[in-house]
Amino acid sequence: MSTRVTATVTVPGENGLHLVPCSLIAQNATAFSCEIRISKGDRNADARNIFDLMTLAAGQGAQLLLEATGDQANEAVQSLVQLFESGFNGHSHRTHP
Amino acid sequence: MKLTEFVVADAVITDLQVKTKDAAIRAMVASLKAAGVLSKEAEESIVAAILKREELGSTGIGNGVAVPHTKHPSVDRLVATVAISKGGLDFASLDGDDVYIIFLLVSPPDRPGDHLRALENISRHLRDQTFCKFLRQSATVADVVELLGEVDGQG
Repeated sequence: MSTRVTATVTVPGENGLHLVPCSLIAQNATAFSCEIRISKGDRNADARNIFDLMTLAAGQGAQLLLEATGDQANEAVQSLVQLFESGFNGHSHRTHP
Repeated sequence: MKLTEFVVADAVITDLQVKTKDAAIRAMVASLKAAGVLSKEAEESIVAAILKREELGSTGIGNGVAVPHTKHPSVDRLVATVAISKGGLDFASLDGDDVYIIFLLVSPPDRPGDHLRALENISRHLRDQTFCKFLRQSATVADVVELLGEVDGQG
């Protein structure tokens, strides 16, 4: 059975969804097997794709719809909501040596 | 915000010869200075700021592409340049792959909206493999400028 979970979040931070938040979202989303889409109005992005996420050009205060479909959809949405609510702080970047 | 509005044609590098991320960033900032859009006084400080930003996490975002950037008070409008490395270089990318295309941006501190719109535009084109392929094949600055102009025209 396919589960679909949605949530609405507000973009924090004066810089909006710039490259650091987009990387964090993609990194976070990659941990889940379900499909995760993020949309702003009629623009829609694959949450695992940094390029896609940046094309949302979501500034501070923009309302985004998170939508996960499949296994762990609930966990995935919760995890992303938390990331937005944290203001993208306290999450370290994945780095390659 | 069109690519040709903020990519400084005179600063485009079609055959970046350096092998490290630091050297690539230095070369691109120097090229923007040589093109007359960055002051000599600000050069070092801009390089330092971009390198510091890279410490937060590489702007090598996959697809062989990197977008190093910083805000800096010495500019009053967003300026950018493009460099193409034919052999690729290690940018500590998120996907671990070498980088062949680098867009470097310097934006005024008080214009986060412009920065987002520029990133939006760059990302929209860089996710397109055909665009990346043509960009990597560009032999001259005129080729790059023509390609940027072409995709600008597509909206």
